[in-house]
Amino acid sequence: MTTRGHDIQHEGYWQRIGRRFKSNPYGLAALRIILALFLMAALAPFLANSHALVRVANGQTEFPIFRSMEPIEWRFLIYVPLAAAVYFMRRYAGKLLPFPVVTAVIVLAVTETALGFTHPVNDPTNDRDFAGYRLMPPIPWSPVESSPDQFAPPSRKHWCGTDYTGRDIAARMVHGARTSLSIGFVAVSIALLVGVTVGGLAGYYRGWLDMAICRIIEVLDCFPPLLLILVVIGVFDSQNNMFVIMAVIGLTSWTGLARLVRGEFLRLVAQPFPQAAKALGAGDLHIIVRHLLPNALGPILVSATFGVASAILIESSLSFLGFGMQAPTPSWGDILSDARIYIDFAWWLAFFPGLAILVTIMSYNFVGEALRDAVDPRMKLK
Amino acid sequence: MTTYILRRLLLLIPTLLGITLLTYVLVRAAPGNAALIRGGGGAMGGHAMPAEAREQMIKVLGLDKNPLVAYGDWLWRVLHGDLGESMVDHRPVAEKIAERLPLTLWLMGSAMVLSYLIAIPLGVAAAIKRGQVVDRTISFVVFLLYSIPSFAMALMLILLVAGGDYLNLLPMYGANSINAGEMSFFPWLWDRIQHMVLPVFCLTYASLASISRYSRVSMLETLGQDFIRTARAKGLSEKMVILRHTLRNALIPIITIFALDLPGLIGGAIIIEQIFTLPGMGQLLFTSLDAKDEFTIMGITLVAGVVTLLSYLLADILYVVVDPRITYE
Repeated sequence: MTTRGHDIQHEGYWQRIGRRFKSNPYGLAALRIILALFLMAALAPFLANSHALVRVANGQTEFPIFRSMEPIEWRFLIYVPLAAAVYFMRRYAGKLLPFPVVTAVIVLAVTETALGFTHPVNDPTNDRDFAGYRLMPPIPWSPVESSPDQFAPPSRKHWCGTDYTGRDIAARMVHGARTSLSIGFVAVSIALLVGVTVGGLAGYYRGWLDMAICRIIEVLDCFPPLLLILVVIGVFDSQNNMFVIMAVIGLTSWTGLARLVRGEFLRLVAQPFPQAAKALGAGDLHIIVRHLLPNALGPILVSATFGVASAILIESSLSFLGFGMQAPTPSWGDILSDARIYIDFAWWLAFFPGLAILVTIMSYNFVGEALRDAVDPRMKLK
Repeated sequence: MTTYILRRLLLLIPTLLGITLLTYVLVRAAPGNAALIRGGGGAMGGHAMPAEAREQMIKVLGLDKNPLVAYGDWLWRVLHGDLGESMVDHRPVAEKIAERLPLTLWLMGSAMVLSYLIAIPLGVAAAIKRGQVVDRTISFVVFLLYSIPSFAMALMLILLVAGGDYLNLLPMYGANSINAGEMSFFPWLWDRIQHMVLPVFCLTYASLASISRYSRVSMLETLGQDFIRTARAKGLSEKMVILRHTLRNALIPIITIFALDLPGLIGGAIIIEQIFTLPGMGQLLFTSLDAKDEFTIMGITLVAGVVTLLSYLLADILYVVVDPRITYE
């Protein structure tokens, strides 16, 4: 039997944060909601599709859903076992995933998602009226499929109603989760890369470089909200492009992170351990990546979590204003912007996507909040 | 202190140059220009206007010049106090901004004052009842409100209380009723207030979270100080301790946060102004962006930039004014 004191001695930085995070029920619940949303996004074609999962005709068993799936949807599926692997391997995460590996994986994920994103094609065939045995997904509608039922209020047939061309809102919401979730995630990864690099350089080297970087940050912070994003998006020809939206949101929202990292680095450089490393002959890169960054990672993570929430909000605001992802690509913001025109009667067009955005943003904010408490060593937890 | 302020004012110049140059380059880099858009079709490639006429218009608007030369021209005129003419209706940009500013000040000003008036007492209450049900309820509710996107809230409110299928209590859009011009002052004011209720609410609720959190933390920090213990030890009532000793000191950091919020007064709120069709700064900005009205965009950016930088400076100065222990010497 080990003594309690012995255990605590061996508790690492991340283990401590993990333990403190778990003691917050709101944070934990919010994290589970986010994971469920990601699962829903990854499995979207199985949850909402006009093709049957299984159908039996003339004694032949067919799986029409797989034939109708596009390559990108297969790729989304890879993330499910990948996430499960990460979950079960988390005990070894500290040893297996040093910073460069994490960065490489994020960069890979960014390019993969961005390049692989395609707009859904309207496929008029469906299995709803199929005569033989068929097993339909829970929502038997595809997100881009029009039907004669325009503006149907929520019912058993259409759980969340339909829009002006009779598209099923529930199906659009399930598929739209992909847009919102991946834009939040990727945009923040881009902001992290830029913000950490720029802020780290300013905080480590100081002098004229710091001065110049601070001016640049000040310039970017002086724009009224949304103006910079709208101006930069205007530069790109094809606005209805997921990668453009992700990149623009990421490239205009790194200043807060850069300020944070700069402040942390200024504080850490003055402490003895980086100086000791330097005295032992360590190079700048080694000191930054191995000594300073791990110590600043807690607050960076907290800030990034809040960043995801705000990126999702920005994306939906952009679609709402007609600049983000637009129909037929399903996106929560786009459903809301339709709602604006028909608001006098079609309450379901505003309510369901609004609720989805609310739940997502609130979950990220609660996770950020719980992480902040977990990272802050001064904070006492019950 | 004077040298400090002068130095900071000098530092405004490169930042403002950076802001305007960046805006100009980005607006110019975007496909299409004001002449093409006015000529019909625009970036979409329409043929509503004969090619010669379009060439003529490009020349008149100065869109054929080298961007750097054009930026220099613009800068030279701004230094002489002229923000240029709108490329859409040829009215002076300064006049267009001046016309939109009062409504935005109304809107953002009331939202800002209201949010501080509501959030500070909430923060104070949460700090006094730290860890109790009151504290947790307040934190949860303001956090919930913070997470609701303002445009979804605005749509739901319009549907529920402003002319949708349910209640019809408040006007749905605009800053005043159509016949507002004939009203005397008090009916006009009442009309204006009715029109402002929904937009102001939508701009207020989200900011409650950060302000109440700041005031809660600030109250807690002050409550832990020695002079509060002294005040209690000498037998002051709890009310006196809170109101006279704690609150006054706890509000010091809030004042500077207030100063940092000031730029929002000018920039307006693009989305809320769009939804409620309020002709304020946010809407002017949005329509100018749509029409590629370069000088109007530049004018708004410049004004917003100056106000933002001055607010940062004001916040730093207020630090010293309210807390004599800090100096910038």
